Amino acid sequence: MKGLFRTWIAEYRNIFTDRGLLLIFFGAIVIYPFFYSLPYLPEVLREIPVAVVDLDNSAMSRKLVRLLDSHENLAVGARLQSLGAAKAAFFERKVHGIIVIPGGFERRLLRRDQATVSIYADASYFLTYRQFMLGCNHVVRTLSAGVEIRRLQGKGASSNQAMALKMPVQAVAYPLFNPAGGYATFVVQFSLMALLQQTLLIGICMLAGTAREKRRDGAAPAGQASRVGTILGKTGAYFSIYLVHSVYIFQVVPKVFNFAQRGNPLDLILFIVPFLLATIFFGIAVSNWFKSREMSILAVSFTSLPVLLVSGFPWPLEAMPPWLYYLGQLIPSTAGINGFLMMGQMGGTLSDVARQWGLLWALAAIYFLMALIASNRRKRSES
Amino acid sequence: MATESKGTGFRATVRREWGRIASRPVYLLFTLVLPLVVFFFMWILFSSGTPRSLPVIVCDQDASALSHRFLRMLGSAASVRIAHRVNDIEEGKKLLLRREGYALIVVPQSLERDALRGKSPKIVCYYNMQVLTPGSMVSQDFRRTVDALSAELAKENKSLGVRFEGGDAIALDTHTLFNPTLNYRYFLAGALLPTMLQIFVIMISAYSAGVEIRQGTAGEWLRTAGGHTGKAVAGKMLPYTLIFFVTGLAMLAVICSVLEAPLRGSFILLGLATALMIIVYQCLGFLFVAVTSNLRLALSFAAFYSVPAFAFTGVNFPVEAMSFFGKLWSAILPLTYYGQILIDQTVRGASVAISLPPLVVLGFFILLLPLPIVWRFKTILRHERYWGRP
Repeated sequence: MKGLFRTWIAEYRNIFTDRGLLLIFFGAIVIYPFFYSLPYLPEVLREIPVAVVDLDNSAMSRKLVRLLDSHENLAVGARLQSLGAAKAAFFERKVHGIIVIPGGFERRLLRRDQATVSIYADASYFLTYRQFMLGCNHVVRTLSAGVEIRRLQGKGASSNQAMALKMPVQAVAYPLFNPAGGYATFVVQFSLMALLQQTLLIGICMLAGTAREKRRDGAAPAGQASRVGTILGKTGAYFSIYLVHSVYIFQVVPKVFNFAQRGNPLDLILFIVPFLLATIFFGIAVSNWFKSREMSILAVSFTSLPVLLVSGFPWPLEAMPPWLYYLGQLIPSTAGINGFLMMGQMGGTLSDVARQWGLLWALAAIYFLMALIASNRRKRSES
Repeated sequence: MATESKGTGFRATVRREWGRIASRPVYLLFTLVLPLVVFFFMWILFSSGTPRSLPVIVCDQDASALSHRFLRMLGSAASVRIAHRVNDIEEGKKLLLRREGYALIVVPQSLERDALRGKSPKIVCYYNMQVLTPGSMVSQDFRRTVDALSAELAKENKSLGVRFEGGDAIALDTHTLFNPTLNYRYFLAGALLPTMLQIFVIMISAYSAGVEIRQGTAGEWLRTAGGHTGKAVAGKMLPYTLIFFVTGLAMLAVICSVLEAPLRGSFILLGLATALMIIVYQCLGFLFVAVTSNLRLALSFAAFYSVPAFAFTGVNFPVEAMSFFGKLWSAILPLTYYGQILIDQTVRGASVAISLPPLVVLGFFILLLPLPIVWRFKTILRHERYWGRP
């Protein structure tokens, strides 16, 4: 452990005197959450412009159009005469869905026949598709149920009986943890954990690259610190800075944007400890590969999206081949994102994320050994 | 060309750049090898198509013939797999919290009795909306199953003396345009692969130009171009344009053949758009070097510009619904326009005319960007005070 504190202090000096590093270690952390949240601030997709082709033009069809327009997901942006015209508006991206009410719509309903409403949904954009379908389904079913119940009542059933006949069992679905299905809550939260990891990795590799360049230029050696002392000393410097960042990311940012933060602050801090350690040790272990300062930015930049993808939030783990799943578990952010969302969004406690927490400690241990072996090799190759 | 001595000029610059590419592995790694690895990774990730057998937790408080019938129907739904059965709702919520399932479905006590008596009992589904895709898929299948059960029961039920004449009064006839199988991987893969390509292009472009300033070889670079800044810039870009075009074609092949996105539009147009996008991002990489005249800063800005781009292109969250800032940022990302062309010419099968406006925007980027680049590089490449700064 020799030279631990000296290395620690020296690393602080390296960090705070390096403008390029400050941009990564501090600038990105402060700016990114705001930059990334801003486009999504409306959160939920509402009022999707749709085109209506009303070929019936009856009281009933006009009622349907009114109901569609008043649904929160939909906004009737164009009333057109033909499907062809509607499709043209659609290709020009003026509307994102088409609703066609065929001629004879009202007559069929009055004659107790089944009437049909055709909808054309754009499935090339997932979120738009989902909101459009939800809106149309809701409106048409509501109108339909009203007609059916009146028909049954007309046959002498009481309104309760009519309900029971129409719907022997009902479905009630409650969204949990993100009731509005908000998009910012969803995307921003899991990318912040990755932000901590990626900036740490870039920064650590950058510092190692600088040190290497200085040594090559014949600068004074780092002093007489033991290998463990060097690793732990550097870790102390990075860890202390990122612990403060974690408080900012998990306590301040959610307050500013009104994201849910249900986790107990102490649990969150306890959870973040092995996450930061695993990331830092991993960074120190791989930092020897980078011969220059700049290469780390190049290398880390393209891993950001794959790292998010293997965490299983944008794309479910169930749809992933097993080997990829296990490979993903080796990245600290995978357990980190999952555990953090379980606590922060779902209100879990540390005991609920025990599996992720244990995994992060195991990763920290493995990467510490890797860092030790790597520094051993470097020492030998340099002497 | 005639006035140039042998060994300098545009061709010499291109030759010099091929030599640089061959001399260090980083260039081929970032233009060809790693992009292909990432495309392969995405292919593996998305090759299972629409997620199936998403685990759900079931709490059956009725344990009747009807509740068993419902659970059988639910179990055979496309996206659902009953992974846990619990006796207690609290226990189920705990499992939901640990992500052992995406939804907790509670069948109430006396479901069967109430259904027969016409009390219209409620089956409840608590689904996890934190995980957007699986959550909404499971809840959709849940609703569909209950509706199907309801319809079956309504037909069977004669106890009230009034027969319910089948079906809904108004049927919804749904046409899914462009992506009839609702294969979710088109949505993600179609946007993610180009996002990855632009990251590689902008980063290696900024690196290839910035490293000459960093290592002080900028003068040699300019001399090889015969002192002509425009030729120096163009000559340096061309080899990467060619390699990236091959990478871009590989990307299109992965999107269209392996991920089975239907290619309903013009492939030539798509190839042209890909080439234009590559050149635009090369220019942007050079622009960041021109503005910062510093390799590290240029790379930092290029990463900041390109990595989060995915979120702003409108493929997953529509641009119209974004805040003003989101719209603005989306408009200055070439990826937004490329994404439109890609979707129009693959799944949508739109006419060429529809894709022309975004193509023209990409062309505008290429017309405008070289001006500030060449103007700034004229100074940077000629003055040693810009060189060698960390």
